[in-house]
Amino acid sequence: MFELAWRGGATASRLHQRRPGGDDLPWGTLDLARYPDLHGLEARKIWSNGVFTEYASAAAFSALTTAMLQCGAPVDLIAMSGDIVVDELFHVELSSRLTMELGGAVPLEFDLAKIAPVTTPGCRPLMRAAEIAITTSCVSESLSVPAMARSRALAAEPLVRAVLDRLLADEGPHARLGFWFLEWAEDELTIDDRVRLARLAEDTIAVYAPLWREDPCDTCPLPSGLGGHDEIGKRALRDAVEHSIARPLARHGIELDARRVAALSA
Amino acid sequence: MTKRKVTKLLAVVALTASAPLIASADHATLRAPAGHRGEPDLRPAPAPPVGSSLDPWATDPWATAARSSPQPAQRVARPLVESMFAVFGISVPRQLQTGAPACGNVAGRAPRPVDCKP
Repeated sequence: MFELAWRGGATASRLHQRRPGGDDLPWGTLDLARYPDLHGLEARKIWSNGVFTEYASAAAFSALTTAMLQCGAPVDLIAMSGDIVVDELFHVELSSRLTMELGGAVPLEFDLAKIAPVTTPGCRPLMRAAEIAITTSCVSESLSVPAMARSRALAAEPLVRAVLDRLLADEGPHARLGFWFLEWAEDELTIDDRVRLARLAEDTIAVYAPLWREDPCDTCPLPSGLGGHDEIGKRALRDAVEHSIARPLARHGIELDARRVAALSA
Repeated sequence: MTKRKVTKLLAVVALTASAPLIASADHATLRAPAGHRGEPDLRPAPAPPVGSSLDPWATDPWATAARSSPQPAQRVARPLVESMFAVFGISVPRQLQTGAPACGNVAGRAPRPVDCKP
């Protein structure tokens, strides 16, 4: 079962010195009585899953940091990746606290031993870093930006808005890091490497496609005021596939299959 | 050296009612009180204020100070774990083809089995 611990004291102090302001958010102000019961429950599910994805992102950027160290990437780029790990852990804290204010986490099952990204066996460090940069930053974080922006636009509760504001402020740079890495690595990538990375990007997009492909549901609870998003959010995700992923990757010589991209974002 | 007690940052909280009741339950009875100041208190232990003159490395400021909020690590009692699963289900996070989790806070709705099962 996915649950998280908090040590407090000196370690929490260190985190909050580097990521200040979390305690100033309007904790304790949620008025769940304003929402249908099922919306509250759905919000707990959404935010429980959100905590997990932030935690997984911390693991992914941690692995990316190590891979970039192994391939001699620019030091400031590596430092940014390491710093993003702390961003993600701060997001874990904020999202967890919000989830607890919503009533607590719901059961979520994942073997944390498998939390780290998996790359092609035997590939060289530069390609390992490129693969993680593609899956984690160029695709996942690029999709995260419009998803969170829509959730923020719909959020009515001051606490939910405040948490989403903090998360959203960091997501843009998280999505940029992968492209900056590819820009640096461009000359080292062979044609075969680029083809493999393009397929990896398409395969990763395909994993998220059900999010915008699922049929509209008139009866499903949509806790928009508490953090969900809607059909407009789905359209934003579709648009992001082309504008925020495929086109920027093409600028770095990683050409996705246009027909597959069109099919995935349809 | 005394081992520091940790608190729960995130905990699965059971619903203490049967599945049919939960569908129509007053949600206010299911959530923790505002601020989580009652038992169990599941909030993280507060850190000293930013800019505090206390040096967290020189001394543990919480070791002697009165602490109103942090609680010892505790698991929420789960007498009805099975019924809780029946109500919530157990979500499986979205995964990449490699089995690693698909990260990025993207979902606008709770995971559905059709989305999550690899």
